[in-house]
Amino acid sequence: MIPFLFVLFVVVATVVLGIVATGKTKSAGDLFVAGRSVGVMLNAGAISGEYLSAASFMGIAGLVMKNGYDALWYPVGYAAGYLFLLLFIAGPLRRFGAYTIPDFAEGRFDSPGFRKIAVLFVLSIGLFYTMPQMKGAGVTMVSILGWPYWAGIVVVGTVITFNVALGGMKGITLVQAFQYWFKLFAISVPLFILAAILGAERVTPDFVRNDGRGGQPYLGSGTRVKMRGAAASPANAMVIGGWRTTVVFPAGGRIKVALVEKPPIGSPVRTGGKLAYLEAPSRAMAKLLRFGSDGYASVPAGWGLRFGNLNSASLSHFGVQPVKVEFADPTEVMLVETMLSSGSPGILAPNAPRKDKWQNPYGTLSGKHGYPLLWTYSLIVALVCGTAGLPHILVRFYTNPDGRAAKRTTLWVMVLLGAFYVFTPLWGTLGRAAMPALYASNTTDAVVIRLPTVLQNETLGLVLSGITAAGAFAAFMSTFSGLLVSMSGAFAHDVYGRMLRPGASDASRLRAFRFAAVGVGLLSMGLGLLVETFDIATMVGWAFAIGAASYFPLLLLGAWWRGLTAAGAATGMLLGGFASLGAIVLSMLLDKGVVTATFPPLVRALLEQPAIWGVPLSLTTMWAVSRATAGKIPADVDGKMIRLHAPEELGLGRNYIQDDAGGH
Amino acid sequence: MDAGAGSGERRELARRMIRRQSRLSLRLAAVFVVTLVALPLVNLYAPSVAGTRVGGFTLSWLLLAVLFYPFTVLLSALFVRGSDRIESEIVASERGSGEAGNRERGTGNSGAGHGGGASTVGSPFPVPGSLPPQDDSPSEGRP
Repeated sequence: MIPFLFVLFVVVATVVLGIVATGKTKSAGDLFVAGRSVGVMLNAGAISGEYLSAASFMGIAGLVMKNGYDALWYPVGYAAGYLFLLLFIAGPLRRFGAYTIPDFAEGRFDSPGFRKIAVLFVLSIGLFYTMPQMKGAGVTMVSILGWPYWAGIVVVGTVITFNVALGGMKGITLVQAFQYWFKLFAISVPLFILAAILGAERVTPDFVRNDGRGGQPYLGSGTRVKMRGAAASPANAMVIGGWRTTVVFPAGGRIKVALVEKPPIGSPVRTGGKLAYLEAPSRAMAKLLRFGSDGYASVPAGWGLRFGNLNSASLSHFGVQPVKVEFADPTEVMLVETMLSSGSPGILAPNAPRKDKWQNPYGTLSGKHGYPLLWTYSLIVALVCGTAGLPHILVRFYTNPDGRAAKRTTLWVMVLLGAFYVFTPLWGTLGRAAMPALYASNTTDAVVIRLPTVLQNETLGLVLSGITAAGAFAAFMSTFSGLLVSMSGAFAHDVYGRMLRPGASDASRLRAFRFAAVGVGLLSMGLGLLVETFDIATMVGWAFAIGAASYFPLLLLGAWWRGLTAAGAATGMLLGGFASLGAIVLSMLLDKGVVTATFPPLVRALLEQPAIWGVPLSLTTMWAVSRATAGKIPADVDGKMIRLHAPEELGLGRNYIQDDAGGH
Repeated sequence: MDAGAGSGERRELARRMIRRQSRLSLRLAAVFVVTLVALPLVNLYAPSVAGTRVGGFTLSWLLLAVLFYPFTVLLSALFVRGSDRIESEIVASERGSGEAGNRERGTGNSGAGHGGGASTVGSPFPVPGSLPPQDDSPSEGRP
């Protein structure tokens, strides 16, 4: 009940602030670019609020808890992308003065055809980015309130569609800024309180090294863990490190068992085939597991599962063999220490990475396919260039009054994002030290919301958990609102106002925007329902990879190289964007086993992280094709370069899209 | 393409602005890229350096998770300051060459003290909501 009140608060605040900020939204300029009158701090807050999505608020903490050092590159890349944006894109983009990013694509090259390609990318990046927000809203409602998956999606989708349809960019700017400050509060204050109660040393990554337990997280005997069943595979596996752990099934269950690594030749596991055995509640009797033809074995209610040989002399041999258990159905198990003794640290937390893999670079995440250095560089390229290529973020720079304000805004965005991101890994380290049960159930993603519940004081735990849950909702809503404005703008301004009915009046474009917002809002909710089993970080990765290899090269070269032609830019964008997307989709299909083909590990690593070849591919294609079509450089390219770079004081540039307010 | 005198001047102005701004951007980007390339290499080839313990963190963890953010903010602040200075100088020199009578004032602006723009140039963090001083904003569509 307490968490629900906090979520309710942030949802109601979003609606009310949206209505207040909307005020009198009259012109199309208000809807698309908030009348180009948003000040530096307000826009920096709005951009930061829009940018800090489900992946930032919940995902990074979970990734750091699960993978340690390797995951630190995510927040760094997310924040550092703004430096590239500042150095190369923010000022020129604002000075161009359009409504949408496809405006830039068309106006820079005098090419209406290019606008269509640009719209395609706005929509595909937007929808890929929308799906994980929707999923985050759905699963958060499931985990904090026990509501069905669709409920969170409907709440976020409806509220934001209402706000955007009502006030467009003008209506969401103040709301997003509020949501940034709320998220900063929700990620920092509960962490300070938790650290003060649990012990500040626990937030440092060294804690697990110095706790006298060899750097591994341990669970107390009797910890209960909910497993989600085969439908959630592979997040359904429990890797158990040794014979000291007995898995008790209070209500029974069906399981598969496998060794994680091949046993040494001649070991008892291989020769006897006695991999696992069951122990009766009384421990007076024991029997071997019997596996059916589907690979599953049934465990009766109240029985426990222990790994080892019936011949106790070889028990120690099994202690070093990690065993993987998979559950057929959602099952609650209790992890019990096999031979309880007073000096024992407890049970090794299942699925927890070893401390050296966790604390040091090149651990479980980057080393998945070998080539950890390549993986790391490619991730950096994807995040840095991808951030500078997200249309729904870029469009916010048009809301600043001029180029200088756009640059200052970016600087402040980096300050605000840094202040936020510095806290997120600490949730992961504290989670490892204080709530290792999340490893066992593969729910490290929820650490930000679940961690406060470890407190003895239940009310305080629920209050803090409510604050973080509300922060997560602020994240879904602010990001989705920006995406919805960007996609609705693409439909209403680019498709309707420029392609279908170029002479449409201001009023009819306003109406088109509102129709588009409702339509895209409904579409987003529908897509959100379909992606329940997809991984949030993977889906966000798709959006970044496409953005990095399409919009980033377009804007970089478009703003700085007068030799770029429409043909070159379009070819590079399409080739880079689709090749990256194809690689990631193929990689996902290989992971899920839909496509069975064997690639060398190097190719697998490059498929999973395509930015390191996708971005250069796009840039070189743009260069080569532009050279080949050098006769097609737009006639007034110098005028365009001046418009992109001249300080406003010179009065040389004009906004590409003139605001209609003055004319009517 | 076009041989008109105005067009040649415009091209020259575009070239000059792009050259000066891009030199600044590329220089700062180089610092940033070198850091980003170096850290994974240090992690790989000098794990003992990366693993030095500093107050509960390894050095590498501290650099990446904490100190990297102020570093990027510093680079950004340097860019905003440098970019503002370049723009002020371009505005001053354009005005100076455009209006002969104002030449003296123009050079004065770019040289000693930047006149009214000094506070903006000196501190890249403006008071919230305030914008760098502008004579007028002819680029705006609305009055």
